[in-house]
Amino acid sequence: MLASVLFYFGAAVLLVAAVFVISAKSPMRSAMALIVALCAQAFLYVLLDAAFVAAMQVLVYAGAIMVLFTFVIMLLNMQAEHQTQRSLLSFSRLGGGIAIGYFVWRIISSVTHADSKPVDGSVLAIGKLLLSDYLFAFEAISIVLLVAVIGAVVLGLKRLT
Amino acid sequence: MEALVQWIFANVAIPELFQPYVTAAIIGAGAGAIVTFAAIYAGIFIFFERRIGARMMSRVGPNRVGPQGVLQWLADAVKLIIKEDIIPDSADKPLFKLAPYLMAMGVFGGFAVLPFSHRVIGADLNIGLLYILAITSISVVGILMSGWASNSKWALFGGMRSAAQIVSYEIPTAMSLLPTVLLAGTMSTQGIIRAQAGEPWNWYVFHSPMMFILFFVYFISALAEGSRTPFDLPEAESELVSGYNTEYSGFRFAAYFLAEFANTWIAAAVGVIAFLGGWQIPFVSLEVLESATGLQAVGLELASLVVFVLKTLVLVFLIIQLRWTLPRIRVDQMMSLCWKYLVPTVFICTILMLGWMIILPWESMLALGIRVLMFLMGVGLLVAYVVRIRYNIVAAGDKVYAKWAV
Repeated sequence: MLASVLFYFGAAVLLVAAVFVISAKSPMRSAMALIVALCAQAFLYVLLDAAFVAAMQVLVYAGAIMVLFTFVIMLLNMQAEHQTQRSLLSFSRLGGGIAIGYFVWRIISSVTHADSKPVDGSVLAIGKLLLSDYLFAFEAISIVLLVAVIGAVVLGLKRLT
Repeated sequence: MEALVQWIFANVAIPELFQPYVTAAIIGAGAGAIVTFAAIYAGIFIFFERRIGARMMSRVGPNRVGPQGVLQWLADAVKLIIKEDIIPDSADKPLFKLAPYLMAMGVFGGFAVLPFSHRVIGADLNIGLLYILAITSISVVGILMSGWASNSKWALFGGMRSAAQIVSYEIPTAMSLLPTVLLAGTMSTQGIIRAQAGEPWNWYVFHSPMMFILFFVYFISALAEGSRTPFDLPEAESELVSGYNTEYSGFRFAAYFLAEFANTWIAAAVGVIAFLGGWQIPFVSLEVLESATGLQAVGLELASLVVFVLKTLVLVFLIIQLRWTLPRIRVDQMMSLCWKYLVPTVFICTILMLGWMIILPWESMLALGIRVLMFLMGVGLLVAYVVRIRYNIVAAGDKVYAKWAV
């Protein structure tokens, strides 16, 4: 009972914030609404007993990546857009329509095929999975991150010539 | 909190239908109590900081409201609440209004997983430390938002500087807590304390030289994350008026400072949990603490509360003392301290700790000997600190009359 009330509350916040992300004119307000949406998503993860994923969602997305977003918005000094670029509108509609259709199909198919089983969301279980089943993906991602760090250092070096 | 709910359901007959409401009410009351504690702590902290700071600078400090000025913080709060709430004309109004509460939310949220004693804790999450790191990173967003929404260049500079500082120092803070998690095998705050013991040589800070260094790295980065002197660059008055909160007044302004002062408790308490043995009472083993009943249980519970709060307040005092002792460092020094010194130190210490843990298990006699040696070294350091402070006080002369003069 309590869990379902909390779920509908979290889902409502998530949807309202997500709609606000695309409807807000000012990029800064969009970014703030996105943070609210990400936090609401973390809340839903908590309800699913996936506390580790929820904490990571807040720490990485809401805390770090969104700070980067707001930095970029501030540095570019972006103002509210008053006119939309007509030429891109039809493409956006088409792409958005396809995405919505795909996700609706995924949700319906996952709800009707009730073969999902509960997973252990504890830190211990995730750690074991990362170091056994998903070891290759885990190491590959760390190499990608290392490459990104080295790339940032190379780009940031002052050219002496 | 969870245990309390279960205890109530086991002892009081509550119909099945009302149980969710009772649970929600208890959790709400607990959350209210924690936020109230945080707010009152922040208020009293301001009073003590001003009085201690005044003593260190041979001034008297606030001593007019109430005996010895103990009610000064209430007077400050009343003044701030009845002040006019000014919102600049060109500000982004919804974001401007929201920002202080985001910052306060980030800080007060952290109190949920901080234990106060053996049983008193908001929620003993199995991701405790990670949760604190995650929820406090929300306050960065509040700072950036206030800097942007104020539409003033000083506030914007302050906000950007603050965000850059906090995002940078998050890395050494998080990494310096990692070896603790490895040693304890859990991220739960209570679990980490349980893995240590009351005797100082069983605290993690004296586990090895690396842990000793990591404790100081944690403390420095926690100071920087809380924007405390010598890292109070976001509020550098001489350069930025007042930083990101320049345009704020009244209660919103108070909310920023409430959050900032409440954050000193989080910084100190996390240090106590991860390195200084938390609420463990010296020479009382965990089994005795768990199996005690009746009056003995209450006594031990109170003792653990006193132990935890005392340890935390010692670290809080250190934070206050540093504020009135050190000058503010420059922006470039702040950044190079983080990226050139603290981050490499943390990485090297973490890797060395991994080897140490494999070669010297916790239970071995050699490890215990090293812990005792480290403890003696820590005592030596403490003595040197006290002697030095005494020397300074004698050299400066105590010019302020107070009954508790040294």
